[in-house]
Amino acid sequence: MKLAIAGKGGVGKTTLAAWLGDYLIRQNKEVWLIDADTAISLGPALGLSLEEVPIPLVNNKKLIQERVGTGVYINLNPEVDDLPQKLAKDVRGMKLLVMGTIAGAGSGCGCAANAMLKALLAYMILRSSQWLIVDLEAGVEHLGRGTITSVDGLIVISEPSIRGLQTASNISRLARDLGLKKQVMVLNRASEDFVPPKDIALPPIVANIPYLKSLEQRQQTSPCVLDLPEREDIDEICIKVLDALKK
Amino acid sequence: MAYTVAFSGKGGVGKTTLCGLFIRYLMENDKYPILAVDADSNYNLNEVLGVDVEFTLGDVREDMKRGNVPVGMTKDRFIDTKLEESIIETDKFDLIVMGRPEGQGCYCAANSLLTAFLSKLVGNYDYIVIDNEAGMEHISRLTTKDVDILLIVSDTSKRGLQAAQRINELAQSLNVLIGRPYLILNNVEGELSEPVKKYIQDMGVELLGCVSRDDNILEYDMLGRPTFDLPEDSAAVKSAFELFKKIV
Repeated sequence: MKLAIAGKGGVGKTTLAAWLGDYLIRQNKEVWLIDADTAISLGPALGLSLEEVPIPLVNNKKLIQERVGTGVYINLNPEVDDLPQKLAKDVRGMKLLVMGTIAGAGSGCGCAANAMLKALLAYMILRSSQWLIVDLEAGVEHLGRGTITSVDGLIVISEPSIRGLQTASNISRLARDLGLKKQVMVLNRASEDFVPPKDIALPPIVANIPYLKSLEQRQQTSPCVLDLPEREDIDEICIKVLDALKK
Repeated sequence: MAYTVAFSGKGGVGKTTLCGLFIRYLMENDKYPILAVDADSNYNLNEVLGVDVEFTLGDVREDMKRGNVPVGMTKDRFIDTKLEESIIETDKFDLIVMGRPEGQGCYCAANSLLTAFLSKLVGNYDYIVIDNEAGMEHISRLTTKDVDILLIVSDTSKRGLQAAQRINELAQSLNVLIGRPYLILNNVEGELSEPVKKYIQDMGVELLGCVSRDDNILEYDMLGRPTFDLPEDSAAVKSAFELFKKIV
């Protein structure tokens, strides 16, 4: 199954991605995680130190030059089949690929880096037989229709704030317009009686991650979100989300 | 030359809220006209400031690329008009929203038009305030104006601080002149812990100061009220204004 997780910054996308990966690997699945978020913090969330986190693909100028080229003629469909194995970092049996974010044009042409990133994402999503979880802050619409139709499900996550919910709603609408209809919503740190305002359209809410004191305390000293005392409760949340997406 | 201040930091640490408060600080101290630039792909500075966005520069760029130009109008003329229209104007500040990232294909032509437009636009203001996501791609789009001050916002979590560290390194490597980076710690309750102090020291970025935790912000966010309108005596506003005084 190929899943994308999206939502406003800081709402818990990366934490949920790490939890899902950790749950699946303990079920003896083959798990690939892709970090395509601006904060590039999935590696640390899984317990890697900053030195152990591979450099994001978008910053790997040499590789991009080699595959996409520079100057006037660039190949917008670069060869990437060998890259997942080459670039992946093993973490607890999971494979982590760090991509970075689709760049704005920035200084000069961002096409080469973007082409590389999109080609690799598409390759990972289109090829079969494993669990793939993509942490994608900005939503899915820049992936292109062909790639999006092969994503099996979108998990939209938000805190109980209007800005977070509005972002969730936008991401969900844009993904649906592109044909990604299987969507679920996860609320983070909302009280049990919280009900989102009716005028904000959201996918069905399938799980609510409670506020975890242990996680807040841990985050003060370590970026790792795994091995918390509440692991069983966290597994329950993962099961709920995955079950809802299988339906 | 406009005085340019950019905010950056991991998502959810309060960049946009502080950015909004900074704009309010400038207004209350008669420092305007201000150009506010929302460079976050999941933009919501407008919600913090309490104004509506009709379309973004990203939308105009999409039009340019697709060639959605009305009959009888040249492409350049049409794009110029659309870009002008995308500016949200108020008495003391204007807002432009960069919008969502690019779709498939090459955007170079559209992007150079955008850069040209922005270079022309920034000349009209005394202050430019940019709300960036952690990647900061858009800063380099505004290369005609250097960034005087980069405010890196973080909470006291390790991941927030690591992102801050990475942003600082990234800022050094961008080909934009950045006058000075400062760190602002947001949502701080009581004294900073020793590990946090140590981490900041090792990071090598000067700590401008801390903004106090403030339940008002949670409440405003929950209700969708613009945090721009927070009461003057609320803890976050008071502590944030103290910090802003040091830089403007």
